[in-house]
This record gives sequence, structure tokens and C-alpha cells, in this order.
Amino acid sequence: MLLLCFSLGYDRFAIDASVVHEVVPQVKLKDIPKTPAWVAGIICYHGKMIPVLDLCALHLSRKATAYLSTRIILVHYTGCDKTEHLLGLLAEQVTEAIHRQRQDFQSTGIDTPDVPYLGGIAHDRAGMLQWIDIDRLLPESVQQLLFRQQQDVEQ
Amino acid sequence: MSHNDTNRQAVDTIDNCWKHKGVWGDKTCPELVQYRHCYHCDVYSRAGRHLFDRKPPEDYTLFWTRSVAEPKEKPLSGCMSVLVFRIGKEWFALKTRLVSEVLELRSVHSIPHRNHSLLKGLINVHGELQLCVAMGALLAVEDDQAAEAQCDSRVAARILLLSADGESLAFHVNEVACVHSCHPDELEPVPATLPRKRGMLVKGLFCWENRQITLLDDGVLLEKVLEKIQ
Repeated sequence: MLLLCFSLGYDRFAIDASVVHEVVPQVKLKDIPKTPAWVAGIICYHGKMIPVLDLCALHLSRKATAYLSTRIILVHYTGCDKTEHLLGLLAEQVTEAIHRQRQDFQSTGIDTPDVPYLGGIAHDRAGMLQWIDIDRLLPESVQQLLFRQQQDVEQ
Repeated sequence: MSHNDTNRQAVDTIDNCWKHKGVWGDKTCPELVQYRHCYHCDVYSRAGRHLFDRKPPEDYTLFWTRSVAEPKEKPLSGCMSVLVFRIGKEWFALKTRLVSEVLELRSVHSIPHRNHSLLKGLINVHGELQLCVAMGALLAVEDDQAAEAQCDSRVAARILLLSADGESLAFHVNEVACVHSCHPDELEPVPATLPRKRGMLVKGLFCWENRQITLLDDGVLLEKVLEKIQ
């Protein structure tokens, strides 16, 4: 399967490319006050307002570096309301897509209840690569916060 | 040291091994046995990707913020993709799905005892022999070699290989321009002044980069050619 790779700090991660809608450069986002620090803001994507999460802030508690390689990955996100939403993910070094099998990612054996989105780890010449499960990225409360805003805008 | 500084340092300390032991160096890298050229090695491509680990230019964010926010232009439905090419001085187009390959020039082997003005001979395409015809003659286009020699030397002549319904056919063109998306509404009818010989093969005319392009009728074209050379 095709995977989209990116970095958060020094570590490399991969997501299933089939959920990716488009990768766009890091653009200016509309800030939303009183949201967690890892909600980077809102992107106006061809007239649609889409929430963007800063994966660096979520994972490392620091903002993503403003480099050319830092990009917004727009993914199709199916939340607990069973409907599909577009969600932006800001990540560093979004410059590579690779072919790997799902079973290449071995379980870490460490239980990480605080970061439920982390999956198994694969290894290649560039080092270790960890799977990220997009569907487990957001707790239910945050989904409601983000996508209710989206629905309000649409109505 | 902040994260930015450490990132920057990582960029600065790229080992340009391709210049020491790679193909631009003394070629002693053991990986060359497997990769043959540094282009194929992931150390080289990873170093290339690191070029993106730098601050964007000043107007970059503003340009992309605007570009991403603009409403998407909906593509016209019913557009067809056509390949635009030139024979002699005239420009033609054919439906792209009919063209199975654009080939570099190669020798044409004439067929003994078949001295046909339309059939040039056979060419070798991936080990298979394909009929090569003189499309210029069929379309009544003057194939002015002298004028062609004066043309831009960057323009390359090609052979187009058409395939439909199990039949294949190759012919020479002087230039292949591009694949163009053309809407049926754009097509103008065939002018009555066109030689009758060609008129039957033409579906319509359209404009591309201030040039009049003749869209050939693929169904009739293959049928006519095969009929004439048999």
C-alpha cells in the first residue's frame, strides 16, 4: 500500500495515502481562540472552511517549524458521527510517499493510552517509521468541537 | 538550542557522499553495485528532499493562501483528450486513447513486391512488426523536407503508433506538440473548400495557440487506411 511519510521532530511517521485528499503548502490560517494549542486554525480551502491540527503541537508540544517542507495534509476523516469530514494536519517534512505493507509495522508492545493514534513501527534504511491511525487522532469531545463549527458554517 | 537551530544544523551537515565516493567522485561506494547511479540511491534523494527544510520565500505563504482559497474551476464535462501533432506544415489532432505510443524514429523495412504509395513498410516496436503508412500522402499534405530542415533543431520528428480494435498502425509525424483537452462544442465544421479526399477523414477544426488544428475522425481513418493498403 502507498503511505505518506512525514516527520514530527526527529521521528518519522506514516499514514495511509488512500485517506489523503491533497497536500497543500503551509498557508496562513485563521486562529481560533480558546481551543487547545494543537488546533492550528482554519484553512479556507477552495471556499470551504476546514479545521487544521498541528501534529507537532499535539505530539511534541511545540509548533511546527515554518519550513517549505512543512505542509498541510488534507485527509478524509470519519469521526464518531460516521460522517466524513475534511481535516487538515500540519506536519513537518511532508516530502515522501513510499510503498510498504501494513504487516511490516510491528507492534511496539508498549501500551500508550495517552496517544491512542500511534501504531506499529517499521524499519528501513532511513531509520524507524511509525504508523499513525488517523481515525484515532481525536477524542470524541474534540471532534464535536471541530466539526460542529464546520456544520454551523455550512448551515 | 531551539528546535529550529537543530533542524538547520541537520541541513547544513548533509554528507555529499556522491561527490566523494559516488558517480561524481571516485565511484568506490559499495552501494553502486546495487544502485548503479547515485540517482537511484535513497541517500541522494533524501539529501535532495532536505532542500525543502528551509524558510519559504517572502511572498510564498501569501501566494498559496490565496491560491488555496480560490474556488476550484469545474472542468467542463464531456471534454475529450486529443494529441496534437504536425505533418509537413499542417497541424492535426487525434483522440489520445487511440494513440498507444509515441516512438522515436527508427528504420522502416520495405516489403518486397509491395510498392504502394501509402504503405511505407514495417517497423519494429518492442519486437513486434507494425505497418507504417505515409499519413501525409493520405491527408494530401505536402511533406516539404527542405523547409523541415530549416526548422527549429529542437523539434523532434516522431512515429505515432495507433491501436484500435486489435489493429495497429504507425506513421511519421514532424512534431508532437501536446495532449490537449478539447470540448465537442469548440469544434468547427469542416470547410467545403477542403480537398474531398481529406474531408472524409476530418471530424472538425479547433483553435489551439492561434493555430488551426484539424481533428481527424479516428474510426474512418483506420478503416480507410487499412482498406487502401490491403
